[in-house]
Amino acid sequence: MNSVTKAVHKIDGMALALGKPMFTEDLLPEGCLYLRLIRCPYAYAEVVRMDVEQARALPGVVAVYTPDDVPHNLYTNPGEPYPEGGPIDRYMIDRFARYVGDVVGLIAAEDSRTAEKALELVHVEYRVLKPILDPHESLKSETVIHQHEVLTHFDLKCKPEINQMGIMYDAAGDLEKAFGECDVIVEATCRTQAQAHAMLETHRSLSYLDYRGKIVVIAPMQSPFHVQRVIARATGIDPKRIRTVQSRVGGSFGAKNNLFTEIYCAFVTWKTGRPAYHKFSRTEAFCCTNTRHDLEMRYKLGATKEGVIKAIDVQALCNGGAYAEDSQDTMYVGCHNTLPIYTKIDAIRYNGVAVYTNIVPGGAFRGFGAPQNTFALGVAVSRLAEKLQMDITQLQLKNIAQVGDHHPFLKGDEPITSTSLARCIQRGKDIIGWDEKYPRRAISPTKVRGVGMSVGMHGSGIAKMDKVFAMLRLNYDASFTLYVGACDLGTGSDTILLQIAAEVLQIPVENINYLHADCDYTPYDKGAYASSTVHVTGNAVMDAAQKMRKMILDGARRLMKTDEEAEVLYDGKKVFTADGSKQMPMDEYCQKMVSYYGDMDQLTATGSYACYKSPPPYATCFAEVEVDLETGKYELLNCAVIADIGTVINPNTARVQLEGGTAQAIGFAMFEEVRYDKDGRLLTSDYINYKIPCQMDIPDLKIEFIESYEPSGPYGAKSLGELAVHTPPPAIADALFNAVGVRIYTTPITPEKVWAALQEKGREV
Amino acid sequence: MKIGSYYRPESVEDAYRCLQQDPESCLIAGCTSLKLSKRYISRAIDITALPLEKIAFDGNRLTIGSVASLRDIETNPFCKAMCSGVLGRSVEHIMGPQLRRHITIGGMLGSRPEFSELICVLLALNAQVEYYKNGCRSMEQFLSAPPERDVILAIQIPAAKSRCSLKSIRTSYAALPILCTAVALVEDKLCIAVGARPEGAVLAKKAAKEAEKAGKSVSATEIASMVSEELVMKDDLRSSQAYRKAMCKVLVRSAIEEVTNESESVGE
Repeated sequence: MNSVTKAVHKIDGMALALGKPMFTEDLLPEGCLYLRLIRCPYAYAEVVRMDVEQARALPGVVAVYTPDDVPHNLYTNPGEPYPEGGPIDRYMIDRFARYVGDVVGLIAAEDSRTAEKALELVHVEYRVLKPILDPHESLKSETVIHQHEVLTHFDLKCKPEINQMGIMYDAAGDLEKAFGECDVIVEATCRTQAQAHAMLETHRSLSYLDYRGKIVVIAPMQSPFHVQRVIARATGIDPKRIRTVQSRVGGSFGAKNNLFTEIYCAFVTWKTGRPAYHKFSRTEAFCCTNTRHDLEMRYKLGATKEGVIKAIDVQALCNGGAYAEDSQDTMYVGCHNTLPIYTKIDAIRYNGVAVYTNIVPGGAFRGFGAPQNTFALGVAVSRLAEKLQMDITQLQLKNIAQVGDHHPFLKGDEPITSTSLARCIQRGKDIIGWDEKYPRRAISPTKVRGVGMSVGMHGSGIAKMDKVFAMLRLNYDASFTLYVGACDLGTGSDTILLQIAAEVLQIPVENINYLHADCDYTPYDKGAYASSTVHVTGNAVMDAAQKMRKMILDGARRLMKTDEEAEVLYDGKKVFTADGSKQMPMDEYCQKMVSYYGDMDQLTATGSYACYKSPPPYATCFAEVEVDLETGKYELLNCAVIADIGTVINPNTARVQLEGGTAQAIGFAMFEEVRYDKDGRLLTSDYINYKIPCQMDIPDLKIEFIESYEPSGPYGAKSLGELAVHTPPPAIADALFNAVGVRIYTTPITPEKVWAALQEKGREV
Repeated sequence: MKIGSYYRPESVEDAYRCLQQDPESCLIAGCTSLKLSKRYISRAIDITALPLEKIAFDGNRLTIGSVASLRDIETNPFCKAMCSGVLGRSVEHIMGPQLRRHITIGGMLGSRPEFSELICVLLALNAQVEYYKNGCRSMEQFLSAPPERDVILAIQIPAAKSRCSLKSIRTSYAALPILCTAVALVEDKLCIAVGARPEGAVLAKKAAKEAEKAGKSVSATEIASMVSEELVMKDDLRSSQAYRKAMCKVLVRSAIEEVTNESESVGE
């Protein structure tokens, strides 16, 4: 291997370190209009009257748009493929505002101060309606959040008249019989909180008209193709008039999967002919975009007395917020990318309902429901270990999926073809010192240490849905150009795709030019979500590169004038006959290819990949905590995450992905929490009240990979991006239980919750 | 924050005069908490160029100029020497060192954040706020009175042989504390301040007096219980009232034990 498995530097790494212009804000053209959205201060209200004349009259204000001034086309926000998986339920500017901060108008001005000033001159009269803030109230409430028509492409059981976004039901086997045969049954009702993406760069986009009259939209997006389609659908602009281009992304974690600014920019450019720029403030990024879905899950597990899990039953309530966005997918992923980790089951059922409420919509967020379900499942398994009086690592080893296993929730019922999870667990035990430390050690009269662990899985792309393409061209100067529609969100996926192409073509990464994520210039890609760029797009790149190799050899026979049967070889530098009689360096090859006498096409190969299966990557987390019995405060002393992502194509990018994900998961487990006041206003709208982990909160993480080889992956690779956030929360909860014997069923696991549980336990004794 | 006009005074007198002229004017320095506010300031009087950043020690008291930054307090040798660096410890959780370079002690006192551990420590150490015209105020007077339209010149901390312990609880390293306490032992007298309550830092005077009366016969645990009963606690975003009450007992007890334990060097 020359490129794959090597720690190749990110192609944009040095430029990023040097602060070179590459982000959307670095690219603003002259004469940009600045946009501001008029936002409703109530959780649920209808606009009765809007007085925008004063704002329109303000010098420097170019346009003010009310709900009456814009197209009224139903669309849904996620930049994901058609037909959309969830309910289609929003308008670009609506008379009804369904959460605090929902859009009721749009201002475009010559500069951002004027736009801000104009905002103060807008007077809106609202009819304030009774909001639903508790998901438990939603289905039985008299309030109806979407009183208009809501479209769906699939039978989702979407019933807006009772605030039901949809049902996610999947089942296999005879559940009653399976539970009847179990020796032990445990239950755990868990609730995980909404989490903020807290990416460095807030949502933003810019648009301008090019010389052909095309509306060019540049943004840190996750898929140019779907952004183009959704803009067209929301505004009615002919999609052929829209060109979407991804800039570099200053952090996303799913936040930029949805279109919060692109539609308004494109619309203003369309209406005024002027370039437009729209950037969210930090408050808007917190209050007016998406959060991780707040999920309540009731897990019931049945097992034999030997510890083999035979039956799993799950009921989930998904708080979708004001718009459906990805709620349906979140339930789907939460179920299908979590439960197939245990394959010895006889029966299983997942019954989830997503509901509308008048809070910030839940949306795409790294993990898509899987971190939530991994937490609840992990807590239930920890309870099972307690009830069976069994070391949880032994319990896991008895149940985890093995090569050849099937699971009804693995789409298409494809068997597992790669896993090293058992070895990961063994390694985790060694790193943390499990045998010496499990379950607890008293350090002082008030301090106790405990260790705990969990396992998790994800998918690699979406089986039977994802389709992607890649193109390779051989250039006259013997370099190649790779055209890919995939979006690097800062993870280094561009570099990895180049490594894959370079490996097949036996050339250094630097010999390949790279064009990415531009709907006019690159081939279609499904977009950067569902942990798919390396596995799914990587397969398409590999296909294109392999086709290119074959084309080079076919061309070599012509250029070297060998007979058609002759064995010809290519080594990245030259082509040559197997018998050594003829050879041609690639420089000469390419000059001939483009010369008058070169009797051949310029070599261009298109590769594709239809994701027929979604092979699960696996991870295990081992955590060690020290709990203060008096305060409930606990320190995370040690945290080891060992992952099986198939082949590690780039050890550098893999390491930082897993470290970053682990840190994000530690914040989710221990303290991050989106909170509202009684009127539905977001209280955690800044970094004073919403803390993400800083360096001091994260112990020296022990991150390792134990490779397996996934036959369906490019060079054996699976996925990592989302898997990285799954396992720390349940491991921390298990460690806490092992240390002090209390269980916390809700995240974040704050010192106050631990203290309250310790008080409760003290009273029971 | 929105600013009408910006002005750099030539002297403290000049700054003071400007402040009197316009009720909507405001002194600005590091501009870290002001920047987050929605406040309108007709005239911003930037005092960062005035010679108010000095930190000095004359053997009796430590004087910290109002434009000294929190980072100065962490790194200045006189500040580090006082009570084993309790002043520095009281600010080290505030964002990062870069931001602490901008936050001034005068600005922090001016905005009086209820969660400030530094204010809690200054209260326990019986610090004085020195105004340009209005003279000195004890921390307690300063916190209970409405903001005065005067220029804070410095904070003075008496350097009697004292020990001081700061205890706090928070959910993450950089989070605002749920509760904090600073307990100072000055010539065998306990001075107990509790902060990060929704109502801000206060002295637990009743409990301290009871403790003084009872002498050695009262335990740290008993004093801490008295403090917890004496002080009002409330719910807010960070914590419930019940948890604050309970943590008050634990933190105050632990701080008292630390300052009264002769063998421990902490707080000397």
